Amino acid sequence: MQYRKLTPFFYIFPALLGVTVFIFYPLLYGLILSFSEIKFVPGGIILRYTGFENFYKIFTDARVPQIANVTIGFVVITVIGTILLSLVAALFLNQDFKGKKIALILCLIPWAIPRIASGEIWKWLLNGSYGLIGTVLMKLGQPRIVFLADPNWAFFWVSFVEIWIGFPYTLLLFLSGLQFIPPNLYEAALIDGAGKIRRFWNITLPLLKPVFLFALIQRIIWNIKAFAAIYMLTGGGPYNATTVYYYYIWTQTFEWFNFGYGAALAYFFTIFLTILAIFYIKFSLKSEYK
Amino acid sequence: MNKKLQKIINKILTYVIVVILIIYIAFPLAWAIISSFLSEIELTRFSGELKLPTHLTLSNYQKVLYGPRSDEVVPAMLNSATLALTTTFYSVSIGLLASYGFVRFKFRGKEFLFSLILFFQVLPGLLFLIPIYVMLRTWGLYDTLFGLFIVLAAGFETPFITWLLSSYMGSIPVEVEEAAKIDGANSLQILYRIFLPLLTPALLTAALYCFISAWNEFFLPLIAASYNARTLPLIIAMHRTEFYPEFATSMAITTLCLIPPTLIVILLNRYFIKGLLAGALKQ
Repeated sequence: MQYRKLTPFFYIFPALLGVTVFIFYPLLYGLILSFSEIKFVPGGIILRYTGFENFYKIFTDARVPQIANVTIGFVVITVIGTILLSLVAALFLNQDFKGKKIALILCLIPWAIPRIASGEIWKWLLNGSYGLIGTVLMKLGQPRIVFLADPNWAFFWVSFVEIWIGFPYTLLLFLSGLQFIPPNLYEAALIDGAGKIRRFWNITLPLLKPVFLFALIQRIIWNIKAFAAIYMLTGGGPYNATTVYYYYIWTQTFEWFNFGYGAALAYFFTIFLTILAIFYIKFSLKSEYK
Repeated sequence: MNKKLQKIINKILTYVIVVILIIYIAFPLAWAIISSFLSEIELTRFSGELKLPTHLTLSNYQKVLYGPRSDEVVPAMLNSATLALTTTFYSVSIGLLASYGFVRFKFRGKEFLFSLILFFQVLPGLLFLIPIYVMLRTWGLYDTLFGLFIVLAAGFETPFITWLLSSYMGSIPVEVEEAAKIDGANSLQILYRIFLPLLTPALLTAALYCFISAWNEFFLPLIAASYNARTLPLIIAMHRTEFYPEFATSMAITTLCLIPPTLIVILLNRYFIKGLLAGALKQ
């Protein structure tokens, strides 16, 4: 009878094995990497212990202040932009109208297509010599701007594209939240003479609060890891104007081959994400284990 | 204000917003598709000077599918498809077993392990990918399709699919299981005879999600593949450093890359809308 208790573990085992090899072990290995430096030689690698050197480097790296700046700006702008856009769109899509289904399906597409493809499309639209957006502006009298070569414009467009890519998911989140608000609440408010704005402020917003918070955290976690669009559009931007922290980790590790430093940067980054994650998990678990 | 007037204004406003939304989303996609059917010269004239093109052409697709660029693109398409299919098959099967074990049994540390799965999805992929790159190189799996598969399927997709299926697993009432237990069925039979049929739509949703996720995967191939194991997103990414960019051709490749996910979403949209909502909120 005792082996009955082990049954669940048989079911979990294959998944657990995969996670151990490809998540737990790398996490440990990465930690070791962050305290060392690596050299690739024929036949394997040479690991050299360097102590906290890589971590000190983070605080003395001259690029880090700008990167932190860009990252915070990027996350704030894209998160607020995405949430506002999604909320407004969800409010309007929550009604029944002809073509609602088509609109919904269309909204899913930017989320479904590979982000690198979206990046490529927008890159073509913003191309400095032939891009359609520049052409249209030119026809309207403006000079042709090479958007992606200007630090400020590049930052703007990278944020814009990231919002374009991300808003379907948040939109669906809000839509599902809106659908759980019973319509008779609105009817009762109407009878009491409440206007549209009042109804929104006193019914919709408060009842949306849990969804809103969830969407907010989820959006922050997601946008802070934005990579594909930045990679494709600017490769870090003119003079690091679009280099966010996550992108910088990649550059250091795979373009400059400072594996140890990259690992240290990644772990440092993770501390912040962990704090966010704790809130995210608390929220998700609340709705899972009913 | 007159109630009827208000209703009409509201309706007009709604339609305006919806139209703006549709243009916002569809315009770049339509542009990509149109670009892929124009010749390079006509495209640069159209995009650069708004000179309307005179005819559509399949030359870009020809170039890419059996012409000069096909050596680059066709293997990439095959790799992408293989990777996506194998990953889906693996992750959904293993994920089904794992979510069954998690949700339908009681054991210590269950909630902890579950939180761990969520935690991993939050962590930056790069955190694992840096060591995984070193691991793959050490094991000789760098730039191999198998290397991509095993990391993607076992490490990244399976935990996610497990989590996704768990909410569906949990929504099946205990009575169904207990009836079978009284009849003397063991856990495997219960899984196979009872849960599997009930979960078919959930499994389909999970499979579709996994396929799209694996097809779109870009970061892992960027790091762990270069030539042999190149996937379609990777080919697109390599355009970044082209000296003489061929825009029409790259739009053709991009369109090819976005067709499968788009088709899936359009044809099987109800699974997504339900699935995304089920994963996000359960009430």
